[in-house]
Amino acid sequence: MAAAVRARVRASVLSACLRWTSLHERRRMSFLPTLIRTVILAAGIALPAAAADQPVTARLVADAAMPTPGAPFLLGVEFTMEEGWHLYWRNPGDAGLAPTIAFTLPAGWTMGETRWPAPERVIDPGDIVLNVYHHRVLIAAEATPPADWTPAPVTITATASWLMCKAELCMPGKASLALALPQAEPLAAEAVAAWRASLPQPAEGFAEIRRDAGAASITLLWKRPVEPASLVAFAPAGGALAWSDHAERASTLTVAKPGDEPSSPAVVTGRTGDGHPFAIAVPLSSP
Amino acid sequence: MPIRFFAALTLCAAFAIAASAAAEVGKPAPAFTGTDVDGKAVSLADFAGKTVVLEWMNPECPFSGPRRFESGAAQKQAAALKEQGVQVVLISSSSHLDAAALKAYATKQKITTPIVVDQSGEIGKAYGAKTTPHCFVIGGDGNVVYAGAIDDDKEGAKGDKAVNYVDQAVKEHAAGGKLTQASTQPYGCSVKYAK
Repeated sequence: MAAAVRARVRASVLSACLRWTSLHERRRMSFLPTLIRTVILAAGIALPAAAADQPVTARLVADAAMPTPGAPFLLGVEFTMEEGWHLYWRNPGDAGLAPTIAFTLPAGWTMGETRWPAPERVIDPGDIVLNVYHHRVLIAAEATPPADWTPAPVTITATASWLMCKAELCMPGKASLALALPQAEPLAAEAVAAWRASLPQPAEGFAEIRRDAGAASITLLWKRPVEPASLVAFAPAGGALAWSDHAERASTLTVAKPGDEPSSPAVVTGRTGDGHPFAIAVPLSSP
Repeated sequence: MPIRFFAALTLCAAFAIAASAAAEVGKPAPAFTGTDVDGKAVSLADFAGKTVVLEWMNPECPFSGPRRFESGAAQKQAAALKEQGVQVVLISSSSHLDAAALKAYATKQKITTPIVVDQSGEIGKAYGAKTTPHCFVIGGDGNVVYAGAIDDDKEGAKGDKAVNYVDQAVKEHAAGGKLTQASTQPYGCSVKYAK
């Protein structure tokens, strides 16, 4: 592995969040002993990061025992959360921070778009809307070795950083992960199928999108029943969005600064009345 | 049906916004009286005529405790603002942190600005404070000038290149000009209100 291709999920890291763990652990000891003990554990994860007493652990996984030249395979980080702990979706909501994953692949390997399963939307006291994952989540993308790759043992690495929260507590977490291929335990086909089913499916036909010129709100008229509590919106190019109303067959999205929206559309994801995750693109720029 | 339906929808939306109290830019800041870590009363009215900065804080939140106070950044900023005649008031709306815990933290971190102990969350909810940090700049006339994030560095990776929105708002407000950013999306941990 002479050179490495770094496929970054998001460019930045939780660096400042993590920096303090070493700087401040001693000073914080008397104030919050439990927190500190856990943070030291969080900061000290070794390869392949399976510390049992961490509230959130990360594992690098693939659905291939050994990749095939030119053939895409699923590569991702599976986070396992202890009861009560949560991680955040790529749009964390009113608070929180999305996990960051940086994969290091052998030279010439490519990686597709990172896919995030549909999150749970929870509303905390104070009307704080959070888009979260509980228990377990796989954040993954398709990786492809070059067609002319000569199969040989190879190790893929990744670094993951995240903010994990439980009740009144939030802590940064970090892990350096490695996956040696060939491997004996690739992700099972059923697990991959379940993961694919948890991804929001493009469903542009689900809603009619209405917006009056210059209006602050966008109305989505649902053509099939959706679960209002599951709806989340994410604007990749920035822009604050909030749900202001849900009626039986219509939901209203409010934009914070009408007239100043990014040109790229927002992504609204949710679940249908019968539980299928979906995603639709919602243009934000005024008509 | 469509017109009436949409009128009803708009009305609902308006109610939804009105029902969730929050401090809004250009409108009077919600008045409050609370107590600091020594039990002394602190009112917004105490600082009438002055520019006031409110910052929601939580020592246990990585974005607030370590990044703002244990780094010394918030103390330094409060001192610099004081020289410009601006009063910083910190507010803790964490339901589980009492005056004694906050006092111990303030002593340890050499925080000299008042910390209002809002365990009931009443002040936090009146302002619509969602995160730690979540900042509000209030002009001498009592109107909210700025509401939102402390800076543009959610990931904590920009160092000196980060734009501190509070400093920017104070400076632009003092100069009497229009604010570059009067409201931004706050970031951080959620405010830990009582369940």
